[in-house]
Parts: sequence; C-alpha cells; structure tokens
Amino acid sequence: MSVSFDTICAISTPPGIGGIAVIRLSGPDSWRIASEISGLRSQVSGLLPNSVHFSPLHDDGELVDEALLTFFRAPKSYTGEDVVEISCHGGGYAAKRVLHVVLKNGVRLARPGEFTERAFLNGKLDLAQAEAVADLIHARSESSGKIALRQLEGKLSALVHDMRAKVLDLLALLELELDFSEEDVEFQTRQSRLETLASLQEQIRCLSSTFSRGRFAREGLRVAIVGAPNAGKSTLLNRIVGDDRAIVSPEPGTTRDVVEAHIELGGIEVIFQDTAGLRETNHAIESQGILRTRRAIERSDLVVLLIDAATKTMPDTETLEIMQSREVITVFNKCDLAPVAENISGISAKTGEGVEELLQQISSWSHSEDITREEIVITEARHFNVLTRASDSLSRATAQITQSVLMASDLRDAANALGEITGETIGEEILDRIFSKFCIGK
Amino acid sequence: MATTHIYDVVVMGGGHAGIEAALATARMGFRTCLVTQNLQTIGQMSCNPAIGGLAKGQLVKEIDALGGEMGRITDVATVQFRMLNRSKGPAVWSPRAQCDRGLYAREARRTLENQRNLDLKQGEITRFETAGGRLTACISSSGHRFECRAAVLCAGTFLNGLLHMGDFQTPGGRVGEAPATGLSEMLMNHGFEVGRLKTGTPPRLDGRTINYSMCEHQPGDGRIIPFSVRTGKPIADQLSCHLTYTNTKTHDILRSGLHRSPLFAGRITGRGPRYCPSIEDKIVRFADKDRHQIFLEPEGWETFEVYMNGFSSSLPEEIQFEALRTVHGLEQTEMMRAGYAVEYDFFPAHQLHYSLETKLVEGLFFAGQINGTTGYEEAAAQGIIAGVNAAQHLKSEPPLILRRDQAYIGVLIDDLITKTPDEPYRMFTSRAEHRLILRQDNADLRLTELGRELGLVSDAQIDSYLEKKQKLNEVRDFLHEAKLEELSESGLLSDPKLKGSRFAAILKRPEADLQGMIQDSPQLGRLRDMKLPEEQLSAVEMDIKYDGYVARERVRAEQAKKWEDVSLPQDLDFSLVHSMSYEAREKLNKYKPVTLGQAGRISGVSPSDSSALLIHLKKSGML
Repeated sequence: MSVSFDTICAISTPPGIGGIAVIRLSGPDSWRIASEISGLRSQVSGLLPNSVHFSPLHDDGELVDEALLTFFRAPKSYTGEDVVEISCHGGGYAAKRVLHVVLKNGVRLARPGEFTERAFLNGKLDLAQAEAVADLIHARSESSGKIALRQLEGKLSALVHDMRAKVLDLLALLELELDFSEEDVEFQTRQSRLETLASLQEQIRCLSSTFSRGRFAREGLRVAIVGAPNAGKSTLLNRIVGDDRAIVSPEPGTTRDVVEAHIELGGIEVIFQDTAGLRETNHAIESQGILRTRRAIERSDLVVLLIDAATKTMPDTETLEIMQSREVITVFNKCDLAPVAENISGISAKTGEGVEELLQQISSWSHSEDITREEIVITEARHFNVLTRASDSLSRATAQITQSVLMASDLRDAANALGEITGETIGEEILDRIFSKFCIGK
Repeated sequence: MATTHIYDVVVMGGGHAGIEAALATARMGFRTCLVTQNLQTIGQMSCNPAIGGLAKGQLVKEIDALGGEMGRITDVATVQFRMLNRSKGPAVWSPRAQCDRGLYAREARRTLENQRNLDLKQGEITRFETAGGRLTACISSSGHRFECRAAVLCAGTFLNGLLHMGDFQTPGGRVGEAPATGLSEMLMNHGFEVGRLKTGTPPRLDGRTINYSMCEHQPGDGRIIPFSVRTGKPIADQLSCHLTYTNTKTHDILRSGLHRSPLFAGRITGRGPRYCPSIEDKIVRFADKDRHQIFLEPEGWETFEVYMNGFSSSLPEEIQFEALRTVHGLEQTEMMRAGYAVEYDFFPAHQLHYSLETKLVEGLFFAGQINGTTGYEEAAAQGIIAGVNAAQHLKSEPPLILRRDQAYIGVLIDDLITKTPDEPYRMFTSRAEHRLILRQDNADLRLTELGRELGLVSDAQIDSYLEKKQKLNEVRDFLHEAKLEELSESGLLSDPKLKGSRFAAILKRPEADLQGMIQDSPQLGRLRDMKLPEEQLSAVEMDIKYDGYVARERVRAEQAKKWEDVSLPQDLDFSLVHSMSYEAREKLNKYKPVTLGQAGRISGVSPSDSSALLIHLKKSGML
C-alpha cells in the first residue's frame, strides 16, 4: 500500500534552444536521489535547505553534465514537499540525459499538472491559484500573463471567498431566526437583507462581465476579415502584420483557405483571419474556402467587413445573415482610389492610410486597456458558469425574501457554487477536469 | 441474598431514552429488563412540561413513524397544542404539545407494563462484566446479576449528578433523587473518556398567585394535530399558556446575586447549553436587552403548578424569588420549587459506532443525555435507535443507520459521533441541511416502511399508513393530470385565465392552498370525499408547490451521498497521509470516520484535506 506520495520529476523548462534547462524533482526521495547522481553523495546529511551547489552529474560513472542543484525542504517549496531543481545546460539533449538518469534512479515521470496538484493538495495553492498556474504557463500575451499572476496571488480567490462569506453570514442570521422564531428576536431587517443580496449580485455581475474580455486576454481576440472577392482583405492582413503573410493578386478569389496572423495589440493577442472572398461560385476549391470563411465568422469575436469603396460590392446574403449575430466593424477600403463620405471609416490597405485608426478601434472595442488595468478578471469558462449559477440562486433568494426556508435553500446553493471557485466546496470531477489541463513539468 | 436474572437485553434507566430502547428490544422479540433507580419516576419530564417544538417536533414524528411511543404518549397527556413556525413555511412547521406531567409518566409506565417480553425492576446498575470484550452481565448495587448479551445505558443526568442552587450544592440526578455513582468510574477504568456538562431548570410557581390579566394570553391552536398516527380523537379542551417579560428591575436583582451563582463563581465546570441559557447567563451575555420573554406553562390538568419557562436559574433561592416578583403579573406570586442547575457526566460520542454501540465494549449501547444531548426528544430518538440496534446485534443483522437526508434522527446521531459537543446538543432545523425533504408532514412516508421491516410497526399502523399513502398518490396523480375546466364561483379557481391549466400548476401560485382548492372546485369532489386533513395533504402540497426546491434539495442530497458511499478502511492510519494537514490527520485518527462524507464533517478537516484523502485512497488502490 502506497501511503504517501512518491517522488516525481520532469523537465520544467519549455522545449527548444535555451541557455539552461531545469529538471525538477519533488517527493520524499528527491534529496537523496539528486545527491546520489551528483558529487554531493557524501554531503547529503549536511545539505542545507535553499542552498545551491555546483556539481557534475554522472550516469554509471560517465559524466552527463555539470549542473547547479538547488535544494528546497518541505514544506517550504513549490509543492510543499522536498524539492530539488537541477539546472543543466539547455538545448534539449543535456536535459533529456539528466532526466534519463533521474528516472533510472527510481523517480517517476510526473503526469501533466502533477507538481501543481501536489502544491494544491499540500495547501500551498488554492483551486483558483492552481488554475492560474495553468494559465500562466500558456500565457502568450502581456495581459493574460498579468491576469494569471493576479489570480496566482490569490486575488480572485480572496474576492470570491469574501462574497461567499457574505452569503454565509446572511444564511447564518436567517437560520438563527428560524431556530429562535419563538423568541422576540430579529437579527436582520428584510431591507438590509435585500441590500446585501443586491450588492452581491452587483459584485457577481461585475466579475462575470470581465469574462469576455478575460477570455480575449487568455485565448486571444479572433478578428475575421470578411468581404467580397478582391476587396483587399489579404492586403490589409499583410499591412497589419507588416509581412507578406497572404498571397495578394488582382485576381478575385485568390485566397482559398483561411490565413491567420497573430499580433499583440494593446497588451492582448489578436488573431486576424484573412478569409476567402465571398461570392456565389461553382469552383469546388473556392466554395470549400467559402465554407471555411463562414465557419471562421461563426468562431470570431469580431468581424471586420471590408468593402471596396469603388465597387461597393457586398458579400452574399447568406454570409450577411451569419454576420448578423456577430459584432461587425464596417470599413471601406481603397479610399486612395475612391473618396468615401466623412462619416464612414475609410482606409487604404495599400498605402496604410487609416489602418492605425482601425487597429485603435479594435483595441478599444476589446477593452484591452481595462484588462491590463483591472484588478481581477475571469478567464475560465468554469468560473463564469459557476458565477452564473450563484447569481441565479441569489435571484431566487431575492424572490423568496418572505419565505425564509426557501431563501435559505437558495443561499446554500449560492455558497456551494462560489465555493467551487476557491475549492471550499469540491467534487472529484472538478479536480480531474482542472488537473488534466496542465502541461507536464509545472 | 443476591439473585441472578437472565435476559437478552438490560436497559438501564427509565427516562425517555430508556422507554423507547426497552420497547424496541422487547417488540423485536428479545427478553428485556428495564432497571431503574425508582419505578415511580419512569417517563418523568424533568424539565419543561412540553414535547416537540422547533426541530424536536420532527424528531417525535420520526420516532412515531418508526413505531416508537413518545408521540402517542404525548397525545394522551396533551393539555395544549400549537404548530410552531406557521409563518416560516411548511418545511419547518413544528408541532409542540404542552403536557400533563403526571399523565405522561402514567401512560409511559402503563405502556411499558403492557409490553410482552419486558420486565421492570427497581435497582441501580453499578458495574458490568465482560468476556473477551463482549458484555455478559450487569450487576446492581445490591449485588443482583442480570446476565445479558446486550445492554443500553440511558442514565440521563444521573451519573455523578451534582445539583447547584446558589452557594448550596448536593449530589443528585434530579431534585430529591440520588445520583448514580460508581458506573462512570467503572467505565473510565474500561478506557472510556468522560466529560462534564450542565443543564438547568427554572422555578415552578403557584398558578393561583399569578395575575394573568397582566400577561399575554397564548391559547392553543383551534385544531389539535396528533403526533401519532395511532391516536384517534384528540382532546377537546385545552389549557392556555401566558407570556410575560422580565424588566430592568429584575435584571438588577439578578445581577446583585451573580457572585453567588455557581456558574460565575466557578463551581460549575461543565458547559451549559447556549440555546436555553439560564436567566443570569442571558442578562450577562445580552447586557443591552432590557427584557426577556417568560412563558408561563401549566404543568397539568389537576395542579396549580406553573413552569416558568425562560427563567432557568441556579442562583440562591431567595434571589430567584425576589427577582421573579418584579416580573409583570408575578408581583404576588409564590414559588413552589426553586430552579437549580445539574452537572453530570457524559461520554463524548466519538466513542460510539453509528449504531450507538460503544467501540470499546461489544453489546453495550449508549443513548440519551449521557451522549451529550439535551431534550426529551433527542433522548427518545437515540433510545429507539439504540434499542433497534441492540436487537439487530443479537440477530447478527446490520444496524439501522439513518442518513442525514433521511431523518433528523440521522442528523442527530451523525452530529453526535462526528463532532464532540462542548455544550449539550439540541436539535435545530438549521442542523439539517436537507430539511426541505425532512418535514414533519412526511416523516411517516420516510420511515414507516423501515419500522415495519424491523418489526416495530403494528399491523394497524402499517394498514392506516398504506391507506394514506395510496390516497396521497391518488391526489398527487390527479393534480398533475387534471386541468381546470369548470370554474368555481369564487376564490382562485374562479379566475378565467386559469382555465385549462393543470391543477398542479395552479397550486404552485403563492396564493394557492390545496385544502382551499379542494373545497372550492366542483371538479375535485373525488378528493373532497377522501376527507384528508390538512396535515396529510401538506405532504403532497409541499412537494408540488416547491418542486424546484425539493428537486434541488434531492440533487444536493445525491451529491452528498456520493461521498457517504465512499467507505474508509477501518485500519487506515491517517497520520500517514502526509498530504493532509496535521490537525486533520490527528482528528481523523481520533474519530475514525467510516465514510469520506463523515470525515469531511469533522471539524478541522478542510475540503482540501478531504480531496487529499480521496486522492490518497485512489492512488493507493483503496477505491
């Protein structure tokens, strides 16, 4: 019977060329094994926590690498267990050899997310923080990194914990009144109860409303550039990324597949998608392209509808219908060739005129400034769903203000829901779902 | 000369726990002897003359559904009935009956004496014998041996009982009655952990000297709803209670005597209940309140004695007297008995299995106040469970364990063995997280069939239950299927907008009540003919009216049950699960929970400890 956690290891730095790579060991045998494969074997009993040692590493007497070993003693480590971090030469090969030696000495390769899982289980991180670690690893833009860091600091947990505490306070007073209903006591007026509920609802609403923006920060903002053939979509894309990403030709229907380009705009990642021009066609490949365009529109957060200022040709009606459910910015292109009215945004993808303003417009639409400035932003769909559930329960509680027993039941539901963010109420499925998201080594 | 008696089961104590325990074992076919210090005090109501009340009323209904007697005896002894919490919604309606003490005790005694398989004996058990960790005999102070295979200890407040009245203290379990000594020491020698609790009781007044015109009149409800399904016709007349208040003058006098209170002077070491604190406790704790409620409750049909509920005190008699005379309506009142506090031994219930059998001695069961509870109802609830499980033990059948989503009794026992109380434990509706499905109106639907399987529910009771259940199902189906076609002349069902709606949908409207609809609608004649009283209809009405809530409650119960279904290996050494906090490991090793759900309820065990435990079980292949 295994009674405690075993010792695990993984390469904790990203694959690819780098100056150093870090192999992390965590678990009861980490100090012993690290010292056995290094020249520190004889000193193992004298090693101090938080000390760094330079030492060669050997595999069956053969030199593998020279490395820096940092020793952490439980509980003062990332996982809350004994931890050793081996910094060896980067570039993949050295790191893999070191890992191989460690594995040979009886350490198990960590599952995805296992280090963080242990940190969570050892009380070093709460649930929202554990999720933030996954976000931080995947952070691709400035703002998503910031959000994850804030979450890791426990700010989201603290806020939700505070809201949950308010719900529990309401519930406690309600219960007290039920328990002592024969005595002439009132612990809280109906008015103050309603006020607390309203302020909680407002807090949840604010937090929930950051979700779409938070999602942009985490997953990037998807902008589809849509228009009739030859409206200049590919030229615009190339202008935006300052690169010849898309093939440009005067031939209508040149772009068949969706071409993507990523840029960072106001701190968030924006994924521009150049799409096939939309027109009725019998050409098999081109109509495939049009199908993909429609899918891209459906998946986008924002559509830039590009219209040739000279011809004013619109995409087909079916596409326009799909676009009705999306947010759309309409822009006239080729304004260097044909004048556009004052009140219409006109650009020239070719000369670059107006493109900066268009990017500005996209940036302000996404509230990217708020994201980088705002204290706490929701990025997880799970958190958003839980907040929605809590909010529904609080609405019901408000409606049942005269029926304290039913109100109490709603408040219990709300508290349970909020607890799922911080991990104060927890189910097995949540654990599984969260930890399966992690990538190895963190 | 000392004699030897041979029984299957010995029940020690004739209070509310002992009565139910002895009846249960006898009815389940085991030769039972109830041994008590004094046969005259069987079924004594030591404190307030009432049964039921908030959450306690639910317990009584559950005891009745299982085939116990508390509800039926109460119905016989009722002098006033009220459904409490009427304004708070049917889920927490709680029946309460003021009782005639004498009648209650007499009916309890009569019930015991008429029970086959059951003997009553006066005596005091002071020790027991074991062989190989199993109980074999109970021995009385006079040396009589009661050989038995199981015993239920229901000693109430008598174990090393000490009465306090101001400066004065005297050994006793109840005023005028000797304590039980020796047994606690013997159990301690067996390795039992013993604690100390206290409880108190108020003065009794001479009703002829009370000026009731100065008090608020509190009559009973117009219609009495019996606790027991076996009770035929309830009593016709009722006595009234009265309400009055203390005032600042009262508080001044009480304060002047505080230094002589055994509690404040430090002579009482046991913790008292926070929930019905003594009057001196109240004026200290709620110093800003300038008055407290006093209920004046009649003690019976044929006595003038009145119980001064809300004025429990262990101050010196003369201070109690001086203070109570400042209360409106009591200016000329004579005190018949003074209030007092009693301190007694209890056994923290983590030493028990869910069956209420002790972990240390096989065949020995504990029930009632010795497990740290307060209240007749809590005692009786444990009594019937301990009795049933003593019988199950003798039959080598699995014990009866009620879940938290099944009965208040389940909540009670789970709380007791999972959380060591530092004050006497009283049942509250707030303790039951699934109370929307644990209502007084559906106690029989929840438990009668279980009681029948155990052999506690009589033929007559099961027949009337099955008939009721069938009628309720008919009502339920009808309401779900039938649509309003024929409008009534007046009332809700006269609204043309509702035409074509199903009756169940109409019932969900806040202003709708089922009894009213049945009386109004020409279409519901068939239901009217069933003549179901309101309290029976309310089981169906609640389920329909609040179906969203009931459904969510059931989902919550299901989710909780998932954790209850994860049983923990009994040889698991929690101290080796390093991923849990140190406190959690220590607590878990002390309580030895049997399920993951129970583990999570132990104080000091956080949700992350629970998940760590779960992961540990999975990793080590124990799940």
